[in-house]
Amino acid sequence: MPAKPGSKNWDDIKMVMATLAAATTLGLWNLFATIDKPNTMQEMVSLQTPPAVVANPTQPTFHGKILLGGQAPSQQIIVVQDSRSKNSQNPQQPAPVTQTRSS
Amino acid sequence: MGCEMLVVLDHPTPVKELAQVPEWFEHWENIFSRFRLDSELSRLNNRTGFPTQVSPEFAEMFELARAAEQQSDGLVTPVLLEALIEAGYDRSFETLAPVLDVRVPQPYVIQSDLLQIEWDAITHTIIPPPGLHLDFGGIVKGWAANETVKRLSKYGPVLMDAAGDIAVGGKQSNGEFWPVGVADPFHPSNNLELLKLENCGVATSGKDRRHWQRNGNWQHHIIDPRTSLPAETEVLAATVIAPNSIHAEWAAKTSLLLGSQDGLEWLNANPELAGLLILEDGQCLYSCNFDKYLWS
Repeated sequence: MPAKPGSKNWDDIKMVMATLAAATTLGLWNLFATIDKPNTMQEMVSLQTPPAVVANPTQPTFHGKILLGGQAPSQQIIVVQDSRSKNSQNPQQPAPVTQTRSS
Repeated sequence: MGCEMLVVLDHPTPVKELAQVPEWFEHWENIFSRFRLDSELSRLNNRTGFPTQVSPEFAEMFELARAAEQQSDGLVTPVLLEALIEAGYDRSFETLAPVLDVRVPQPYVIQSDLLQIEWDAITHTIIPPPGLHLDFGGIVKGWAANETVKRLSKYGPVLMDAAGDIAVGGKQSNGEFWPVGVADPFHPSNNLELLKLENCGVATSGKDRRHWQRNGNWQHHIIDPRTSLPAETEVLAATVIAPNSIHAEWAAKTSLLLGSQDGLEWLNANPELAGLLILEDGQCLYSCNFDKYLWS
């Protein structure tokens, strides 16, 4: 059976529609995946202004807000089983086992 | 809990349970840490407004925090997380560095107290109001120290130091008190006083540690719920001895927030407490029964 007249044109239209759909998808993706420009500008202003005092330059400086998250603090636990003789040389002023301090 | 801890058991032979102490603390971290996204506390804070059943440890902590809030007239409360974050303590203290923030700091308006949180003590179900987040903060360290001493006391005299919050079970095996120093906030490696302790807790609350800079101004982690800002008090550090380390922890914070005069009066009005307030100018104020804990 002979091909319908104009069938090649319909293929071209389908090709154009597919190309447009792909281009639109990529365009929208690029639009919404772009970082927030006002925030970026604010961070740039913050970064350009040097901090008044840098306590420890080796520590990373964070800008932004971390809510209910972040890096978990590390802890160190020292376990001691004490079986030493407690016959202190100076029972009036023994060496402290530990000290209470602000935490 | 982001800090160094020490447990001392006065016993002549090895005790296997000592090796489990780090595991206990890891377990408690997984419940109470606000820096772990998968902790029970973080999961609760992420679903405010809905009923949540909590673990027995969490339930115990919640009830202790409610009692502390009542007895401190609201000065010690775990509903200050937003104010703490607003002040800049929004990540582990070890990673805090000076920050230049272009925002004008706004006092956080405290939305509620613990008594307004729906709580079923039988089913351990809690319903925090929407937007209200909990942070048990220092009281967890006092509780952990106390819990460790309770578990190990069956083996002999024990001392647990959870980053300065110290619980003591019994006297040492030679009959002597446990000698514990009170750190000088101006020279932390030195001790201002030497305490003799048995069956009690001692804790220090201060603005000399865990402070950071924000817009060139020093901030610290003791939030005053009356202003929802870092506390403005002439007390640099407050050390309190109490029947247990939980009580000592919140009593130290209360006396620091009250300031030198009111703080000392409050300590004297509570005979189960003994306290030492160290002021910014170096002056030391002792409550009337502090002497009996001093090693002379």
